[in-house]
Amino acid sequence: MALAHTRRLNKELAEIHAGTPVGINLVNADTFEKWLFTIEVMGTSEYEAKKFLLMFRFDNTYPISAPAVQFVVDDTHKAPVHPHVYSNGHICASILGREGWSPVLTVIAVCITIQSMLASCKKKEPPLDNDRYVPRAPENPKKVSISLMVSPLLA
Amino acid sequence: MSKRNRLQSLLDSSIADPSDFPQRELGHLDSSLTCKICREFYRGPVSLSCGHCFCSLCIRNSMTSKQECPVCRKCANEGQIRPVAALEEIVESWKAARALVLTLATANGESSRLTPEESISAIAGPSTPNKRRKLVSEDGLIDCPICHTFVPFDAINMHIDSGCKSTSTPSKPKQKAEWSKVFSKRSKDSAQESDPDRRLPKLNYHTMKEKQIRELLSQAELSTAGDKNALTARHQQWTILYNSNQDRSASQRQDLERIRKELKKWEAEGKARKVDIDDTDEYQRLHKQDFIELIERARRSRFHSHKPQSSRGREGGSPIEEPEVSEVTDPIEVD
Repeated sequence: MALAHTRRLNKELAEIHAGTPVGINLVNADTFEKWLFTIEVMGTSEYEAKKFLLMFRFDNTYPISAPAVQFVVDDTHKAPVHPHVYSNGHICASILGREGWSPVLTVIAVCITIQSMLASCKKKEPPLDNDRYVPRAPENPKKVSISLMVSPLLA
Repeated sequence: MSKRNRLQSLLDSSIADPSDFPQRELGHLDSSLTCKICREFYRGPVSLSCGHCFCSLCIRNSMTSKQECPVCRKCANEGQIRPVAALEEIVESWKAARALVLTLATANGESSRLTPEESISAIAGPSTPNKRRKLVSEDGLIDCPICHTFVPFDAINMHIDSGCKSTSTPSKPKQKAEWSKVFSKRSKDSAQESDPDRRLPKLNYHTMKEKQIRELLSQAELSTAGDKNALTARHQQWTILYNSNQDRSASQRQDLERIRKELKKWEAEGKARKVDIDDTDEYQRLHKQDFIELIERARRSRFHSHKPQSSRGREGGSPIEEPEVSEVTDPIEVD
């Protein structure tokens, strides 16, 4: 029998196939471990006409704990320059952390949050501690240790 | 079976979804009877003091990580959990009526999308694999597609024909015996303990000795293998499963043997997530290439990131950043 988290993801996938919000498009959901979306900010903003690739990774604690979400950074993709986005693609958003996540949130809800986070950006600059964070950060943003998490929100 | 195949079979299996209905109103009715956490029809619906409802099991699991209502984020705890009998009845009636409503709605809405057989397979609940054989567990029990209780495979037709009423009869004598087993050992005040609606209390495992937890587990006829952490996790999950079963109305409850099975399944899932490495040498040999690659990558990224700094007089220390490598040794570990 299917695991609880794959059943829930299956339901979300059905909703995504039925339609996603403007600017958010599914690229790949071949497995229930990793999904990819493109995020585009609509209207006038600092990120006009730019597309970013957003990666979700799930384990079997989903949806009780948050998925691991980050922007893909490789030869063809870059992370947006934003005070809450590190240059390695890691995102500092309260809903992705232990305190801010709620099991009623969905993949699409996270996409919308990140889209609006980009849309509301007034000044394109990297997080203050970007140079300190990036070389030390683990590959998976969910495994960031507390000592590294000096939030740019507070800084 | 490969990952891809498993996924495909999962996608092919029919899943009840509000979008089955062509009319938006019916789709909304359908989705309003689902739990916001698991997105399936409420199983043992309970409410918190803020009024939001969830499956008992979902909210109890959620509370292990955070004591708040997932919808409105108001503080909440296990003590607030109250079964909502009326909602349970509504969900069960809707599940029974859904196929019929769907047939009527689709025939009405547009040219009939589903054949009668298809609409029956679209009844409620978890993804239902098309192959019936898959639904039968080793002990010959089958998950009833209507009421989700476990019924002997041979009796499933009779069970459905009788409107799911005969559910607990086959297991009742056994259930009683289980109850008396659980309670006779533990109880001094048997009148209170034999209350069939009793919930297990939340325990403070930190102040308990390993032996006490082991005793509790053996009283509940559960495995007593593992260290204190394993015992604690097992008993905690047992309490969650047991209490969420208690939050269902008596006719919907599963017997203890079934809950023990669910606990085993839960533990197996946890093991799958946490790779047990018995032979560390063998593991290192097998993954040597991966380690080398990762160390190489770590060196490179370190070299790049430290280059500008070293020109300012900072010389590199140890050749490898420790966290990068320790990440590798247990890549699937969560928390």
